[in-house]
Amino acid sequence: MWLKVWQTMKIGDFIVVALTLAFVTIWGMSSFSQSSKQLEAHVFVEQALVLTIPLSEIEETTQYEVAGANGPVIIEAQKNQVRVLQERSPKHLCSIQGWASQTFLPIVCLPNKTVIEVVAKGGETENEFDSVVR
Amino acid sequence: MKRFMSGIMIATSIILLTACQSAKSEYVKISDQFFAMDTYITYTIYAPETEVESMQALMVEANALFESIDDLANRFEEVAGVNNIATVNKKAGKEPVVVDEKVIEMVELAKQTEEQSQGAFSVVLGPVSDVWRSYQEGERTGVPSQDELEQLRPLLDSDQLIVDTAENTLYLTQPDMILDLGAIAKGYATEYVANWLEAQGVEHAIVNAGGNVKTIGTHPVNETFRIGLQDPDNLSSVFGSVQIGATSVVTSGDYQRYFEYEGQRYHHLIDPQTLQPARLYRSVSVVTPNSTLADVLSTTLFMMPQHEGETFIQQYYPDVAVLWYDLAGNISMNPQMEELFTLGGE
Repeated sequence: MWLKVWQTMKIGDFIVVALTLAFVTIWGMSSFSQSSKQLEAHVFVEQALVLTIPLSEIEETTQYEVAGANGPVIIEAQKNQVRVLQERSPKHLCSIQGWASQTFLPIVCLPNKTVIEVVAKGGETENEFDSVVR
Repeated sequence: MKRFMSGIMIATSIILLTACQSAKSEYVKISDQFFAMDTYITYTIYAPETEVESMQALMVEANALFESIDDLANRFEEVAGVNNIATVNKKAGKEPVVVDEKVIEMVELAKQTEEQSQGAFSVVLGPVSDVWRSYQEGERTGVPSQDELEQLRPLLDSDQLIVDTAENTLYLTQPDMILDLGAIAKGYATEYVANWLEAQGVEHAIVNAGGNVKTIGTHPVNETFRIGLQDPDNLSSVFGSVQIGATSVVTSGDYQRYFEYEGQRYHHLIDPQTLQPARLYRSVSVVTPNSTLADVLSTTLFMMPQHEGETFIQQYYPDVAVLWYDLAGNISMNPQMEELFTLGGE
């Protein structure tokens, strides 16, 4: 059947088929790259980026320290996730939040003016929310 | 053969349409963040490529606007050059205070909601909130006795808050009364700033002030915005989302500000009737275009048993979508919310 179709196709038909294949290939590659994004944690204090943690490259649990507005903020990172381990604040809400691995829900330490955002290197992930109500 | 070629053409058209949709990303997603009103505020603007710089400048101006409303609603300290809520409280029992029209708007909506809800909402709950705060912040240990709280009840009569809309004045007639706009000011500021951004030409944007999200226009590619609702039982995740156009989403929950004592959680949402933290839900979410109203309603509904809340909404705000997340993790919603809500994270 396919041989018969092939034999009856004209030059214009070949162009249409080639274009279709090209679009499908580009679209497929784009989708694949979206779903395999590398994750990083960006740590901001007073809105200034003070630390970048390459979450996707971490093999062992690693601790970092940044100077928050209230004192040191101890951050712990594992492969593709990050959390605040220790900080000085009345309610410790950002420690309570636990591990963050999603790009749409930052860890916010209000008294320390510290924010940790998980970001997909090179752009957003496919299933990302536009925003989250906390 | 013709049928085969038609198939090819249809497939090509679909792919071309997809490509065209991506081409709409001539909008550049820009964002800015800052701290105000004891929360983390983020702006996300989808700016036309040619207007990125000017819209970045708008976000800086928006920050200043947000802070100016924060100053007006501040009840803990007076701010030079303006009469704010701290000024009104300082003059309690002494004299009326001229305030900004924005403050009058907030107080009027608050008083109206208190009347409609038969006392489930109050803006003069300050004396009780202060007692709870002293425990929450560790100045005192344990929890306040009911006797201590009940002694404050004479100060919680909102009829003693006199609003003069002609003169733009507020007057607390009893000394020691405390006006507190904490349950409305963030919603008001979010609404005000979003409207201002829209008036400056912003067509697609999100203003997120913690529990308050306001969207401007539509998503430039997907048409609707997908807004996640944080999971009270797993703060690193969401339990569902709402798919919305230009509107606002506000959640009141027991998981952002609280302390624990003898295994019991004491959060910041105090029921004006029992004077205790309300214990009916983990969170209540509201979707309605006006963020100020959404803020007031989410707090009010947090205090009301669900059947009362449903009646209240049907009677006064029939278009408002509401979702209740109860203490056992059960989710229920009204028909308006069913049209918007999708269960599940990721």
